Amino acid sequence: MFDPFIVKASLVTGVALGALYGILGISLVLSFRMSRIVAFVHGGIALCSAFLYWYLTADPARTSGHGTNLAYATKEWPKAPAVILAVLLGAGLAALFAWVATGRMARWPRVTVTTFSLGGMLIFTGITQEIWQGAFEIVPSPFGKGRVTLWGANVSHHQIAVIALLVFLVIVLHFVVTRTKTGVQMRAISDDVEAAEMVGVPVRKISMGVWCLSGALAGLGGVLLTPMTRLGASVVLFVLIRSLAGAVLGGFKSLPLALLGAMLFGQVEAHTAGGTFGKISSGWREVILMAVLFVGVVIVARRKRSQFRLAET
Amino acid sequence: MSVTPPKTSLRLPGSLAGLQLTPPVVAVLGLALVMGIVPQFVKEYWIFLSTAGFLTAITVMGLAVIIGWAGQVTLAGAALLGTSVYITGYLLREGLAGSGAWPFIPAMIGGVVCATVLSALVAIPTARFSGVYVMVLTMGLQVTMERTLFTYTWISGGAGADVRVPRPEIFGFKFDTDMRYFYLCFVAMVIAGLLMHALRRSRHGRAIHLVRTDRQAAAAVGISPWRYRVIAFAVGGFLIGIAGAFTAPLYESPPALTQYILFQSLFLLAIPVVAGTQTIVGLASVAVAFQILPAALQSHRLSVYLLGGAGLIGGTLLGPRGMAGTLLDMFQQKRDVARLSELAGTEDDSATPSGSDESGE
Repeated sequence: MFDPFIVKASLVTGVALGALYGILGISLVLSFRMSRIVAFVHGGIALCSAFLYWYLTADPARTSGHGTNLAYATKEWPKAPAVILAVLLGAGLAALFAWVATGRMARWPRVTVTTFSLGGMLIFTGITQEIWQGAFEIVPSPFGKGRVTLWGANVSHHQIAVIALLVFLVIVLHFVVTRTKTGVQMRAISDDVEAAEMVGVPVRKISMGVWCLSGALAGLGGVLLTPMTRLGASVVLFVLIRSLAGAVLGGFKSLPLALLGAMLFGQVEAHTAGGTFGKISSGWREVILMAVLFVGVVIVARRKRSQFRLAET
Repeated sequence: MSVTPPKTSLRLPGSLAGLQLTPPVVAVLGLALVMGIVPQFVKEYWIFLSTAGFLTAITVMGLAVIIGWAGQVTLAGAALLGTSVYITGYLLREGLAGSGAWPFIPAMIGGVVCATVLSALVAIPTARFSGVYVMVLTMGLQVTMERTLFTYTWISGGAGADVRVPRPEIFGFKFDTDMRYFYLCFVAMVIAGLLMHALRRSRHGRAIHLVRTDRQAAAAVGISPWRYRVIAFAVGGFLIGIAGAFTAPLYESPPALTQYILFQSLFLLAIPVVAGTQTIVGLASVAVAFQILPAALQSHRLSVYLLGGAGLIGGTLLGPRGMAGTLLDMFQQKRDVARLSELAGTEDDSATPSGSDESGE
């Protein structure tokens, strides 16, 4: 029936995939908790940061179009300053978006602001496509090229570092959100902006801060996810959709649950692709993942509705 | 004493003598003139692009029903369009074993039914949820369609396959040239617009609007919000399906699946957001402009991502009435000011006895 070797290898791959989706997932949850919108703009931010990181660190001889006049003149900077710059770019772009979203649009319908964030994503994607037309690049990892075999699965140092970093970030951010004064203020703004303003919460300052943080995380996400895939608009957007699915499965509510949702999604994908349940075509895998997302949304939405009814009672 | 100028009414000679040249009449006559004369003098490339623009207009009319009327944001516009394109193309095409070579109307019905059913199926469970969840699920549907139906080469035709999707022949009349097809698609767009107009004024159209404006009020008067949201999605899917059915033979070969990916959904979404959903003419004009602009500005390398993004951002900043609604408001405001000053003038006249000069008091 089940081949234990395949199951173990798929488990490890699933964790790595979950980490890949979790990076952007936590930035989506943070911005949702702050403004009650789905920050599609983080997809564009992640792409911009990833392109900047690649441009600053990649070896020109390894870029596409090498040896032709279409080659990209990338720099070969050390990785650490490039990561910092990419993360700062993410924070800056998110601040730009938040300046409008938390200012003029603070009391607009959430769906309208979410549509605005879709526009932001397209604009940022368009800018990268204008600068680096047709690029579909291999991105060097900040953690080197080493690999180890874990439970039969070949895992890179990059994947291990990403999982560790993700768990660390979730723990720290969860602590900040639930145990600090800033976290309480964040939750107050999220629940009722006007009431928070009335009790003296610096709404604009906190909102901008959280957006900058989530943008920085999206930027970091872009830098960390592209060495595991490739750098291209469609790839980053694809990962964003998976991250969104993970965040939805976690109820868009808590960071640990979002991480759990991303891990669940990663596991389903790894086991259906790895052959735990036999050979499943890529089309059917997608249908299964869609079904998981669908069931997750139904459960989360129903739970929210029943909580709302309970609160009304 | 101020004298109110007599109202001028231009009248046409002969058999059209009773027709007043009001703005809508002028618009229709102007459009007829433009549609009759201009296509004779422009290159075939622009005729082809305009045809694609008309079909985009039908697509965004469908999206407008979902977004503007029902207040739900769907990110599966390109998936529904692609489904109809590939199903209709599969039924129409010649050159591959197992393909249909069906007449156009039954093939069109096949494509339209698939898009309508798919749209309604997504709506049935999601219509009870908030907009954000509908967005996520429709996005999931978009990606699923991209990775399933669109990748099956026996349906989509596949890249480089020797497959021909013939232009339609309806009631013995062949629409085999770009010019003929241009007029057919224009007529299809006008019919779709009239259908949308009729639906908006119907009992069901008003019910859909009420559900968006006030769900509880709608439920209180016996209108099921869930049912009418599903209806809105089905009508939207139907219109998008029609656009897809006419798009299938436009290229005379199966179109590339990159035309129906998620980015295209976002691009399509930008059009009703920019135009607003108040006027069908505004919606159609912006749709045609969005189709033609990237080609017209090709020398400036206008990216469709940037155009779509600017559209979404500009449209949301303009507010729910969009560009067309804002323009209409401006005209209405001007008209109101003119009417008020006219009324004030009339009151002055009636208050002033003839022959006296009150300004001297």
